[in-house]
Amino acid sequence: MAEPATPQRAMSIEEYLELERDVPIRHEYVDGWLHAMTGSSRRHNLIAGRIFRMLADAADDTSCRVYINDMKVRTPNDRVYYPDIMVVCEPEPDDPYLEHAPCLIVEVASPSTTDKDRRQKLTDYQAIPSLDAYLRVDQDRRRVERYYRDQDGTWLHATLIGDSTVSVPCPETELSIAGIYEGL
Amino acid sequence: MSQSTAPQRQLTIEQYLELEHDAPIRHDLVGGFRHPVPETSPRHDRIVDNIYRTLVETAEWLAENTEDTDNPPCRIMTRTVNLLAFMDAVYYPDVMVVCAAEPDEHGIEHAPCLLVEVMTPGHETIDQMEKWGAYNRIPSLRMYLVVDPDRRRVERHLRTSKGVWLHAVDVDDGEFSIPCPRSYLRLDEIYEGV
Repeated sequence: MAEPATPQRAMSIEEYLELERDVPIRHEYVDGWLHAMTGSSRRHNLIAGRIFRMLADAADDTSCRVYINDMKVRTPNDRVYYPDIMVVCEPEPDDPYLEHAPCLIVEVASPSTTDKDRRQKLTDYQAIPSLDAYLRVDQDRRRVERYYRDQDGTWLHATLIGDSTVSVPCPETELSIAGIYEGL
Repeated sequence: MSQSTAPQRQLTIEQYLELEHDAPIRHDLVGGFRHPVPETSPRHDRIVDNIYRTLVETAEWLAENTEDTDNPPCRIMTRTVNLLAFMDAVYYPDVMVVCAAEPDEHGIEHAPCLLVEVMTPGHETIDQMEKWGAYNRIPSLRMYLVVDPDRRRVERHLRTSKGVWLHAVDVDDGEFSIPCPRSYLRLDEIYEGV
């Protein structure tokens, strides 16, 4: 009968952050669990690119930074993710490899990340005090789910479809759903 | 039309319980919103039953043959009991062992010693990543098992007496100790009849 496997210590967040600087594959981090990020589809990339362009244009005359894909967010409960798109208007943190106070996060859906985006990331992103809105953008339908913080601190969830616009807190602008999905 | 749905607000736990009471399927409460528990296969259910049955038999044997001081009585539950986890998430663990603690006034458990989840194909990140994140922050938890239904593979997270989490993977044919009920679990027992 086989011996029980020798347990290894879970990786600390500091060890993970150091590792991420050296390895060619990106990983997300949850309490020692590393989840390797895989490549995404053409549709995913085109949709993310369009949203990034819309937000970057609107952020032009502001002090907000807009990122796509490769910037980490470290949440107050010490989870680390790579949001598809992230807008940060707070001053830069000391660590040049991450942000911790985004105002807006956008995730473009893909089959392998649906659970993570809808459940886990919803919880961990809500815990970021500076975050005012979290958008989940469907890849296959013209559909955007908008989670946003109400004045009393609780979160609301609305689904926007078709030809409507999505209002975004930072930079303050409206995203056209038709513009996001045109030709796709 | 601008919005296809009226905005839904985060649920309180009381609101969640009320909705669950009448719901035809179970939902987890994550981020303040309900998410349907993915449908399980007969394989999944058989493995959950195997583990549940083994733990219950062990607990009964220990109760008859050892002093309570060595092994405090543990309650073993499967599927239908709520657990409150980190970030106020509420789940229905596949198997949950609670020793020396009582549920709250709603019947929700707060202090499990051992938790077991059997994965559902296509939803592995829920058990491996999300629930790991929610469960490992429960102070009373000493072990979390994630069981693969499609091959003989068990991920074992165990917390040392100094509060450090360790991680191991057992495959094919093996046995490992579990803290509650204090005993051993064999892969043969987990995967019997599958």
